Amino acid sequence: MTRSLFAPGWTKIIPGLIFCALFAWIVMNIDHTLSTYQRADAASQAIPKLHERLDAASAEGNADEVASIRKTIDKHQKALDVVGGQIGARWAWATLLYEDFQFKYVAILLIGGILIRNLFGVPEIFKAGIGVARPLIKPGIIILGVHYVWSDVVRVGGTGLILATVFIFGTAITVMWLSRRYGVSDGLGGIMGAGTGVCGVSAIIATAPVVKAKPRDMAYAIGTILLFGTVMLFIMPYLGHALSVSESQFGAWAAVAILNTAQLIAAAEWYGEEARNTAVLINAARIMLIPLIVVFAVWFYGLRDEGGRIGFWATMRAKFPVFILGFFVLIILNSIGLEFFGGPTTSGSPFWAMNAVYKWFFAIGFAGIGLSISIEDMKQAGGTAFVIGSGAAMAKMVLGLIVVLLLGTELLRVAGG
Amino acid sequence: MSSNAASEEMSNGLSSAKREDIWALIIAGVVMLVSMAAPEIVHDIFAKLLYVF
Repeated sequence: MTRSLFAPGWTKIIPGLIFCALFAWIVMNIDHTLSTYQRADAASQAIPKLHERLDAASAEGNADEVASIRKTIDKHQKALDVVGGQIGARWAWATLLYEDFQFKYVAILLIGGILIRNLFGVPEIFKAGIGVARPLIKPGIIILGVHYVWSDVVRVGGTGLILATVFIFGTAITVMWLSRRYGVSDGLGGIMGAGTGVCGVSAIIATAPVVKAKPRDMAYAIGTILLFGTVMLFIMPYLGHALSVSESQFGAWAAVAILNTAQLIAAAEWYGEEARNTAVLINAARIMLIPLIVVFAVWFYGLRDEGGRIGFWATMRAKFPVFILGFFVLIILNSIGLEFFGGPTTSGSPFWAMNAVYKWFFAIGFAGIGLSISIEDMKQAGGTAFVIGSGAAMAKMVLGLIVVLLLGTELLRVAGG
Repeated sequence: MSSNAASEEMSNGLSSAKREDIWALIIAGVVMLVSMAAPEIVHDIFAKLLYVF
């Protein structure tokens, strides 16, 4: 068992992992510097206005308002003190980059990674480790469980589960049916349906052996998923801001529209904390449907084992994403409210400490995504299956947006605890 | 189909997705244990020490 935890030749991943960790560390420090100066810039402009409001509230004798404004001034003063700045000083460049252009660690890692990979190339010695860096998002997702309580799971997760089921099966059935109608092979149609329906590459890998997809079919399907996911990852956050989509709505929209777990977490994290919290919870519901989509593909293409059975439980066991159980264990512990564990904002508690860690796993994972996006791989996309797959994924994105706008923010907001 | 799913796991010991999942659980478990033992140190390292500029 212990031996099977290590893939053959696992030592080859070490250089690439170190490279991703180093890249993530540099970018996290750039993000930290930009956010520090952006906060100072905002504080420098806000403090004079707050003093005017404080004078007015004091004159009215409104004690609660005075206390609240004083607290906000203190917070802004601390942000200003960090850079040793004076009231009235400007750091407009930080606001322009961090606020206006949304140049946060997610964007820097993704864009920087793509530029490094495609302009300069990545030495062969790093490639194995870069491939392993992306799944490091999974421990980050587990640790993020400290942000949720059961009421979130029931409300947001329940809504998300319904959304995910409708959209996943709707897309998968449409793509598989259209593929068959337009003469696409069962192998390619099956993995394209699973890939555009659920979790992109993971679903393609899970479904490929079942529908007996050829390596070339996998290259086509993965190329399409990567191309669509990459384009959406960069377009959706800007589209969301342009359409005034709230953070919680964006999280749900990303969880429905973006196919790959890592890419959807990246887009949601880029949009904001509330977006990420909603996206992670709905994604947890979504990825639990992967085994069901594989079973569906087996049924749709009439595949059976020697005994003529579909093998429901064997497929469920083989394809279930077990890491998500860790995420739910932490939600249970957080919901019970044991004093020992505290909470993500309870200073000095275990959950408070864990809350400082998850972002680093995400950063290394995002470095892995950026550095593994190759224009050459995406050129593999093409043919009838590409048109059907990306058409269905696009329709899912538009319909998903309409549905989350109709649902509103409250139903999708993670309250936490 | 059941033989497909089973044979994929048996031939390699664990599928790559399962291996990733188990490692994610191990890593998160280690982070949790260390955070229970020394929360202040973990927080200081990841929220302060690693930010050098």
